[in-house]
Amino acid sequence: MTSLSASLATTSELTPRPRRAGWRYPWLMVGLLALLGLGLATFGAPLLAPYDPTAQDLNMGMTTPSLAHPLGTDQLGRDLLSRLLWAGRSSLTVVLGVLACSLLLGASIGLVAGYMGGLADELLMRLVDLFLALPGFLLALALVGALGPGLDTLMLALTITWWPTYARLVRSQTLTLRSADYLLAAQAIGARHGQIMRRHLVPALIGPVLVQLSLDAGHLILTIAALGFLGLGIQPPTPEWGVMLVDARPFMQLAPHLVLAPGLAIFSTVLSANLVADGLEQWLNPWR
Amino acid sequence: MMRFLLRRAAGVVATLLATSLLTYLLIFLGQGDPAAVIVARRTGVMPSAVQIAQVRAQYGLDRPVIVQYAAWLGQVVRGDFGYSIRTGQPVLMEIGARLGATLALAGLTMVVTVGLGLAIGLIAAFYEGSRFDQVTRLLALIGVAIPNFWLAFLLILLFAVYLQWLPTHGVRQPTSVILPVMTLACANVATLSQLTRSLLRTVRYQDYVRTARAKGLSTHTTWLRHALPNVSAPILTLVASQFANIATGAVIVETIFAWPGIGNFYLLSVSFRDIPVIQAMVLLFAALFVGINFLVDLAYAWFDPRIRLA
Repeated sequence: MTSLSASLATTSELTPRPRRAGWRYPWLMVGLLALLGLGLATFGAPLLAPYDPTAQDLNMGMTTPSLAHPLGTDQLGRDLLSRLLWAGRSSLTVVLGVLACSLLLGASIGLVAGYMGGLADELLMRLVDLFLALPGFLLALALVGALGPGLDTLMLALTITWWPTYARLVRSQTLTLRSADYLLAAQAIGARHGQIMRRHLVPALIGPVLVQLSLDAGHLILTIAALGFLGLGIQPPTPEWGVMLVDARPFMQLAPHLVLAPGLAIFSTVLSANLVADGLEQWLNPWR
Repeated sequence: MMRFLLRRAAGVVATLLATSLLTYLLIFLGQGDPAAVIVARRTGVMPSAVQIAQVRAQYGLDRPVIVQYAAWLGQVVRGDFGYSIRTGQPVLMEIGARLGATLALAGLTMVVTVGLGLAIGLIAAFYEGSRFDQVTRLLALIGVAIPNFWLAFLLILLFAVYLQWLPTHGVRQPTSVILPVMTLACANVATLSQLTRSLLRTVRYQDYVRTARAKGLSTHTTWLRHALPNVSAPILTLVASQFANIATGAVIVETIFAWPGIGNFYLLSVSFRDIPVIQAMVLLFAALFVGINFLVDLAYAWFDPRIRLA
């Protein structure tokens, strides 16, 4: 009897859990709320930031947190909180832009390749493989270096290295769905290709794509900050978290808060994006 | 097996050819005439028409693009990537002199990553739900979200500035390698341990694992000899891509710790628009990526007859 119940217990590990409502995944909710808060705070920077992020006050250099400056000031007397908020705004704008472009380009290629199959699939996927084979970070550095740093080149360089993931993902999902009964049924009643893609394929793709988007959002924040750190990302005077870190390096011992604040900003943004990705995956995939 | 090998090898060659074309086109990305850029970079003054014509002839920039590409490819195949515009030395020599330092860093990081990652993953999966499992999952979440340049700063502050146990940068002492390796390994250990854990969780209730237990094998033998080998393929894929990513992603860590590797060199070349170096690096690393993927495919086929016979 004990062995039977034991084996029942073990097989139950492999059966899907009933899907719970989204709000019952606490970490997903924490991540979503944090992202929402960050988004509101950074995009509301023009309203929320107490100072002009580029306004210098050399008499107030590197002060510790106070009532006037909640997070203190940097080496040029610029208000740290205002800079953090404005920096988040520019980074998140780039993230949204890159994600939108990569998704549009990658998903349409993946959808066509997976749905059409045959020669179109073969050709498109070879192209994707080619871009996946390129060392992304090095290429992005080279592109930004060659085209000159700036918001548009940054987005271009990142999109070039990011879109193949979406082509791959959407294609593989489409392939597994293509032979699903409900798609065959739609074909059998004479639905046109475009209609099948729009009405039946795309809705089924939203879940995995959302997971990938939130995962990539975190990844992009890290990459943008890394490029800024190397001097090839968002350019001063626009505040940027990576640039703020580099600028603070010489004062690491004197004013550790200058190093801590931008780092924590990057860390918490990436962490919340990852929490959302993790939570979404668990929510959408009851097998895990 | 032979047919599988040949088909994959042909794919590798095709990918590399296409990559080389894309890489070559990088030279035309900069604003303006590449020849003018080269002269300006070298002399620091506005180039005269004669100088430009000279450089154009020297680099063969006056010929049609496709001819230029063919000539360049012919040289590259023979291992000649031309001369660095910044230093005037052969590109391959410059890269060769620094490759060792980067590979040492990447190799050491992978040793730490695989050792720690597998161990943590195994223990966490074995004692699923335990305090250890919970703590390591939390640490892994943190580990992948920490920007590595920030982590580097924090490690320097703690170990070099406050405790003064380790040097802040350079390669003078053998202990210099510890902080860069810690920085690079952090996110990789986190990813590898969590992948190992989740893979082992899915196989631990499989019939063959239960059979192994039923045969009377000890728990350790079951896990190490039956569960772990069956999840080795995805682990191998991750480890291979981590190695390739460290080799290229070391740019930041090398810059922070003044590590004399190719990442550091690449960054200088990018800011100088030293196109021959950039082309060589992108192509070499594409080759490294493709080569590693090829080896992983071979290993898959070796481990799993279903793949090589398909």
